[in-house]
Amino acid sequence: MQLCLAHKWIAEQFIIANSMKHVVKILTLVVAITAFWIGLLQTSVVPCSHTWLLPIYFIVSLGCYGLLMVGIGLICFPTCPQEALLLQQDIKEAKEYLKRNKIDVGSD
Amino acid sequence: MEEKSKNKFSIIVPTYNERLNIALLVYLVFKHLRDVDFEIIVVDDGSPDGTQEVVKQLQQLYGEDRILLRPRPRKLGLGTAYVHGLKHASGNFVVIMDADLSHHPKYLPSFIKKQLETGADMVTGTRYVKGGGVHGWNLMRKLTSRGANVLAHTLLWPGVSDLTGSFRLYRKSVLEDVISSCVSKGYVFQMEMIVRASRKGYHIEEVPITFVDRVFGSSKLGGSEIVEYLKGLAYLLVTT
Amino acid sequence: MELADRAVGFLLSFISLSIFTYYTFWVIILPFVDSDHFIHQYFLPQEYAILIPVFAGVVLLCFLCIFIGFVTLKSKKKKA
Repeated sequence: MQLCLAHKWIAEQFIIANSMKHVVKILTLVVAITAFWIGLLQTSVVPCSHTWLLPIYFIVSLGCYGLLMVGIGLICFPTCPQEALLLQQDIKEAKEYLKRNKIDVGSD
Repeated sequence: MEEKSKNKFSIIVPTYNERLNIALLVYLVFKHLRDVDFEIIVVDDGSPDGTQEVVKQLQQLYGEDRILLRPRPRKLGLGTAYVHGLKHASGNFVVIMDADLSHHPKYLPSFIKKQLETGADMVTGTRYVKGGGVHGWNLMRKLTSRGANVLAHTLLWPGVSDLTGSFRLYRKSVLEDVISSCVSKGYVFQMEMIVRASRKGYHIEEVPITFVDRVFGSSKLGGSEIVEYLKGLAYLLVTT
Repeated sequence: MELADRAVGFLLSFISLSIFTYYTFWVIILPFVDSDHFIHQYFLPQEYAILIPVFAGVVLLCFLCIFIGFVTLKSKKKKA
């Protein structure tokens, strides 16, 4: 019975999450992280000066992540110089066919 | 096999001054799609270079039921071109692609095969995976495209790798549903289509495609495009 | 051309990773090290760990605002 209820609850959460606007989802995440941070601040498990630095550390990490992803994207950017050659061949073939069938496409 | 014979694909190609390219494109589509039922719908925005005359000649050659010319009087934008073409589409699947041959018709069979294998509602061509690729972009263009991609992925979590590509296959009902709620223009339009489709829970699959800029560096990204993109991102963030 | 682009990508990844490692050391590990340890002479005082990122963030935001403002003004002028 309880398992069934738990399932239902999870399913409901899914439906709620799906109908949320995306900005709300992100804000929820931010609020959750902030709450966690305030909790840390209150309980002072770690030294206070430390906790104050955490949000900035989080933002710096996010920035680094973005930069890293752009860098990796540039390193692995797939290019296809051979495709350009193949396309030129196809264009030539197509032009000949069009010429045979007397379709005037101009000289360009 | 039976499924295959029932499907009909409507290929919508918006054109503006593409007199040579549209002829090449039509030839290549017919070359690569041999045993498939399809039609090509050319939506021409009143090109002054005689694109429509070329299309009429092609109609004589291939048949008026295979190539449909549905012109509009003047330049009215990409999004409405698809809506316009869609009104005349008789297939149960719709392919949209660019006329300038940056999208090669030889990838059409892989779109169709992917759809058949997975039963997807939408198959999108992606340039950023193995087997795909881009040719003719300089460093700045690559950098902005990667930056834009990372930004969109971090903010929107769309679940597909290429958001701004425009070589896609849709189930017709899905395209009709999605396009009716899209308002953006340009690059953002393509992104809005796929984000909305993904939010509505449609099944989206990807196939690798290559993108060849024939005139090196012709697809420039200026400051206004970047600002438009950022605006579009913010818009999608609050509305989807 | 291709190789140069790749090198730029490598440089970006390298910069981002080094900033991340340096900052992690500075903020997370250093406070647990005794203040008379030799490693402290390689790092600025703790205040700068806040000041520098905030300053960089403000500069970045200003730059973005100026860029957007400039482009919007230019496109408006074009329309008019």
